[in-house]
Formats: sequence, structure tokens, C-alpha cells
Amino acid sequence: MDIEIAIKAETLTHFLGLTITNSFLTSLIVIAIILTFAYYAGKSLRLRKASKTQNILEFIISVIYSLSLTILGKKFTKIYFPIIFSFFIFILFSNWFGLLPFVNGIKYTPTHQSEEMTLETEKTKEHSVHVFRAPTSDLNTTIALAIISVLLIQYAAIKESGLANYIKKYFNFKVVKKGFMGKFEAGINSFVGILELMSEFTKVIAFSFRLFGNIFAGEVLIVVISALTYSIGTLPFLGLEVFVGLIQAFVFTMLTLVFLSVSISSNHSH
Amino acid sequence: MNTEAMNAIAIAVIMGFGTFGPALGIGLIGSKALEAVGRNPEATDKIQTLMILAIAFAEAIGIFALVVALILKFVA
Repeated sequence: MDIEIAIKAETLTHFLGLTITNSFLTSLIVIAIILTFAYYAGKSLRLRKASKTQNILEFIISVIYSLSLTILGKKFTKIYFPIIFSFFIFILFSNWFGLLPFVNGIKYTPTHQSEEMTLETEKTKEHSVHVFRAPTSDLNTTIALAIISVLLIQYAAIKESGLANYIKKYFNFKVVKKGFMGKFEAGINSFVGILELMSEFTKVIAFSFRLFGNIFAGEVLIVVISALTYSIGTLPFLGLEVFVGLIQAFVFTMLTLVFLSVSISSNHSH
Repeated sequence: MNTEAMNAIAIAVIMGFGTFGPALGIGLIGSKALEAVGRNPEATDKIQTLMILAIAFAEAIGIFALVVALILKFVA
């Protein structure tokens, strides 16, 4: 049983000083697929007799749209819906790309020795690299998505209630009541503010590791199961991974929506 | 003791203890959600959405343990 699993995305080539990894290449392909699909879907939109494709797309969009209407409300949905749906569709297609049949098969042997392989044994000289890899199974992509999501939340909080209110949420040193209880309460409030600041950073970690762990563990599971049993035996696990990919995209989107709504409305109620 | 043996034991112990909490948490969330649906079947949609959200939070902790185990196994 000879299984090769790499946590790190393997580099394919170098381009103008940047390293092109296989997950980066796959994310470019996913973006190309989404853009082509969006272009051709938007070309022939009709109001009355909608085609089947248009119906399916309207259904998908309406699921996320109604979710964001319930969580955000109509006014903010109009502003933030495009990026929410972009998160959903990018993560969904990235998760599902790793389940396509050719992804684990196409390999590429780099002809030159890279500088990273300093400890070379007999085996690593002929090290062949997968060409495609699901983008979200690479920690870089998921950390990037998580940082974009958390920055979006901060931007929304600053835009909707101003910079002063935003800073007051985290650094709250005002003494409101008089006497000892007032100072005690101010101390507790400042501590809670620092904890809120730290929880923004743990949001990045939680978002990225949830997505990365689910998709990468799914990849490992598929590889191990397909090394153990016939190809028919991998069918339930592929079904599980399809389901998990959908759920993880949905959960990422919904958590972004929920944190967005909390950060927008938290300064209005005080 | 042997380093590789300790590594293997550590991986197994991480997964054994690390998935116990999230599994219990998900079971409790599911049971409360089902109870709420039983009391008020009209609010099934809202309860289902909130339940999926809460389960994702609980499951992420189990995924943290899985990531540590995978790192221990595949990155020496």
C-alpha cells in the first residue's frame, strides 16, 4: 500500500519569482470555470419562459438570497450579497473540484531539482507531483478566504457605525459610574473589549481550519479507501465528500452572514 | 521509548480523546433541536438553519484534533 499524501501544496514551476503550486493552478481553473459559466448563463436571461439552466441558477441564488434576507435584512443584503454569494460559489466549486476523477491521476515530474530538496535520498530524486489539487485543501487558500471574510466584517462595522464606535467596541476604558463599582466595571469592560479583539483573530483560525480540515481529511479518506478496496467501494465516500463540500461552503457563508449581522447591528443597539 | 512508537500512540490518543467532546456536543445539539421541532413544527426551517450553524461550530473543534493528528502523521 503505497500512498503519497502531501499536506503542503507542491510547487509546479516558478514564474517571475512567484511559486506556482498545484492548488493555485486549480484555483485559477475554478475561477475560469465560474466566469465562463456566469457569462454564458447571463447572456440569454428571459423573464417569462426561462430555460432550465436559468431555473436551476435562480434556485441556487434564491437559497442564499433568502438566507441572507433572514439574517441581514433587506437593506444590507443589497450591499453585501455579491461577495457572500462569491464566497459560496467559489468554495463550493473548489471543494467539488477535488472529487473529479482525473485529479489524483495526472502527475508531473519536475525535470530540474528544486532548491528545497536538500536532503535527497534515492526515492525523492524522482519525485512526481500532482498537477491538480482542490484549492481549499491547501491551508493558504483557506486562510486567505478567512482573512477576507474577517476583514469584510470589520469593514462593514466601520462603514455602518463609524470609526469611533468601532474602536470603542474593543478599547472601552470609560468610567461611567462613580466610586469603586464604576472603576471595577470599567476594568471588566476593558477586559471584555480585549477578549473581543482576540476573538476576531480566533475567527480567522476557526474559519480556515474548519474548511481546510474538512476538505483535506476528505481527500486523505478518498486516497486511503481507494488504496484499500475496489473502485465501487469508494462510491459512498465520494458521496459523503460531495455532501461535506456543500455543507462546508454553506457553513462558511452562513457564519460570515451571522458575524456580519452581529457586527453591523451591535453598535446600533447601544 | 522509540520515537516512532510515541508518534503513533500520540496520533491515536489525539483522535480518541479529541473526537469525544464534539460528538457529545453534536448529539446534544441535535437532540435539543429535535425537541424544539417537536414542540413547534412550524418553525422547522429556522431551527434547522440554526442547528446546522451550531453543529458546524462544534464539529470544527473535532477538525482541529484531526488536523493535529494529520500533521503528526505526515510531517514527521
